[in-house]
Amino acid sequence: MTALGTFAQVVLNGLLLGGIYALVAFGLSLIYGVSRVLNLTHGTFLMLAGILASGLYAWTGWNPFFIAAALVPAFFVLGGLFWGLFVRPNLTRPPLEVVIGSVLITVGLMMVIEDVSLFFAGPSLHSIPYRPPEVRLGPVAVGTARTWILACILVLTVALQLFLRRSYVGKGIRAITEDYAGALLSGVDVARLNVVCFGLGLALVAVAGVFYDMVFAIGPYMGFPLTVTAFTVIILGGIGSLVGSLLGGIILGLAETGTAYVLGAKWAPAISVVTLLLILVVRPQGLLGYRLTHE
Amino acid sequence: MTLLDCRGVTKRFGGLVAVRDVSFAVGLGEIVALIGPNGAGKTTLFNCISGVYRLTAGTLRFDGRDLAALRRDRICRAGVGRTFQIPRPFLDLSALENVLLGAVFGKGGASLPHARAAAQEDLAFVGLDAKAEAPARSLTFQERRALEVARALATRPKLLLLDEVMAGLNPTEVAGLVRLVRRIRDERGVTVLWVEHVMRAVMDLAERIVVLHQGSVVADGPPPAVVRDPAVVEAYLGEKYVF
Amino acid sequence: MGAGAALAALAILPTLSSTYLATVVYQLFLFFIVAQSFDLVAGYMGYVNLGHYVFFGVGAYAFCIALVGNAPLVLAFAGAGLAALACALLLSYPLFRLRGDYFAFATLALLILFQILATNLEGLTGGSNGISLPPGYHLYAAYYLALAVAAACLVVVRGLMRLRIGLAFLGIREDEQAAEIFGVPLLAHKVLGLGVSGAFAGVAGGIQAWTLSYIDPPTVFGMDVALVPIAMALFGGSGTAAGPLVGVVALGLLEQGLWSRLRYLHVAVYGAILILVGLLMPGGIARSGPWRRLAALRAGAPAGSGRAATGGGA
Repeated sequence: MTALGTFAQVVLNGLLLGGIYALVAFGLSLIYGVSRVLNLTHGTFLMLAGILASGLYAWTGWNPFFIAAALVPAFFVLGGLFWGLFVRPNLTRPPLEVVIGSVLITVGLMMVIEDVSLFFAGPSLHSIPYRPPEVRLGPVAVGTARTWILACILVLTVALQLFLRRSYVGKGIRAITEDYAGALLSGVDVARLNVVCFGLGLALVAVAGVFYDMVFAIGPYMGFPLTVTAFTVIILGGIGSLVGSLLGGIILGLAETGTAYVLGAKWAPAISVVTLLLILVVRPQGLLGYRLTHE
Repeated sequence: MTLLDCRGVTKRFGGLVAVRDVSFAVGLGEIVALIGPNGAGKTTLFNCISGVYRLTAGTLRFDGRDLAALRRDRICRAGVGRTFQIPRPFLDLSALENVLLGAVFGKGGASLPHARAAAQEDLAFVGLDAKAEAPARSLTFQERRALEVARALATRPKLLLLDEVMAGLNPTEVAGLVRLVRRIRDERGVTVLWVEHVMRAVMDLAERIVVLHQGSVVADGPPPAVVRDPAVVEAYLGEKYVF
Repeated sequence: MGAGAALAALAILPTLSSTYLATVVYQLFLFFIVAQSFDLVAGYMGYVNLGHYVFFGVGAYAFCIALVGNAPLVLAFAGAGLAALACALLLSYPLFRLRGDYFAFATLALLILFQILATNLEGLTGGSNGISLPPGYHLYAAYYLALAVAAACLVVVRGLMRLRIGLAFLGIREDEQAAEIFGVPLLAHKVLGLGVSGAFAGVAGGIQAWTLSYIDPPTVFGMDVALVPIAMALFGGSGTAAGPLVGVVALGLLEQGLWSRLRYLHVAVYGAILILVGLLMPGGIARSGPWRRLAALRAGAPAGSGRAATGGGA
């Protein structure tokens, strides 16, 4: 392959990875924006979805896009349950206990899901080796699966944006994200919107998990690093901003594949963490400067 | 002798100018009241003096030092103490411990045993000595107000910034607090700069009144003159106050 | 003096009992050092450093690197503590620009970063192969060393909380903006807290490395081990005098019970316990009703507010 071809391959992989990261970040942005809870289990749910999907694929051989669609309602319900069982009870507590409570609960849940996944699926990596016939565009290999994935991500982004801007529920979500107290005073049904956001959040993560499985591979220890990546993306792009998350995701995806290419794959996972720490310390409002309402 | 000298103090939040070119001085031993309608910039000005906000422009000289350049804890140790409009005690600590912190880290800077004794005294000064061991969480609103004053006093300030301490009190309580503030100046030699809405208390206690309106000073003088000032009447008082 | 009796009992334990029991108790000492040093910053100062184990790992690596470089044992242990201290001081400046949840999250992310660093900086750390020490059996020496450091940690933490520093920590925990306005220099105290807590964790890491004779990145930076002492501190009651000790003993014994019964899913059971504690009593055991009544009975007075304060704790 020529140098240009390699470069293009790295960029395309970066865009693909970035797009997947963006999906994950959309989910997290919805969840965090509406509840202000630092959900440490977010990446773990992605891992869970990925492992379930690869298991389903191995078992049934179904088209993974179909599997993703099947997982969506399941994870939507899971999201609602997650909120009801683990988030809501913790909210009505004195402030110091809320932090400790949410740490204990999310860390505990992370441990449970990871260990159970490890028990059933083993420590090795899993993937979905779905290979439709390949299409070449000149010197660059554009696997059809990847093109479809990119297309799906774009469609989902647009759909989400329309939902947030046009629908009644979407406007409520944006209201809470921007100004919690104001939204409450305006009569927004916070509980119902929380359920919707957590449900949507996990549904998006499930789809991202399937896609991740198709392009790369998932292992049971990848949960928390993915959570870190997701937070890096939303903080990079600015919380509550869909475009910001998309941009942030793409930037991070490109940064990771670029680093892997230049420095070697072993340094790539460090990029998220380093970026996160840098951003939090240097410019916490993100690249697009969205103001965090922080008490 | 001037203790606090504000010259051209300006504080801007994005497009909003909360405090605009404010200049006035507070002399050593004075009791000066800062009045004005809501949103006039009074608490913002307090926040600038105590270092919670950084100035956009202007200078703040206190006891010969430039306050704007100091870190907040250093401002406290330089001798500026304040209360908060909505009392914010350390809820999980006792009343004594709340006051103790200021006694230890304020300008008094005492060792723990001495600070403890001083803190007890400060609590007694505001009438809270019976509640010394009670958790701050259990204090009534009025008691928390008194605790705010004790905490500020514990830092042994030269200048005390009181932020609307009379709000929500009945006339008897107001009279009691007026006596307390006078004692603070007379017995402890503390200069007082005081934001207030309760005009009765202001008229009783203030030796000078500075009036803020929309971020700027519109009047600055002894009470009888200020309350008759047409600009003040129009901006704030509404009709002539005759006491 | 209950403390004196307990100390004496612990001191003679290895001679009276089996090696297995001594090993278990030795592990508890190490857990306690990490849990208590964590709680100095989390429970008393209000900054939940989920990545506290980073200091443990740095100490372990520093110890091994020193020992492999033929440094005398004492220097190696000192090096472990100092390396962790230096790490704490360096990390203070960026970390303390964060508050609350963000601080907790960023510190947890540090665990990942350090694991990656340990895996990739092969020249220094041996990469994923880790570092092997010359084999040797030091359990009894390590036991007494760990006991001494654990006792020292307890004494230092209690001592700090009796001083002005302790009062400043509490002020920072309750309302740091107000504390600053009442004269507390914030950064100085935060750095002090993190430094002391890091140093202790680092020494514990060194001791652990000494008995294991081998460390690699997942052993000292892995999230499943890293969160255990923190869970113990939170379970026992963060910010109380007895909390970390209670948590270490309770969860430590529980883990011992689990090992023998379950071959798999220990971590999951641990996680389930954490969830239950988080949902039902996030204040921890030492703040629960039954515990406070017990403590009140011993002190002969009605149960108070149960908060930790200077000059006399709950």
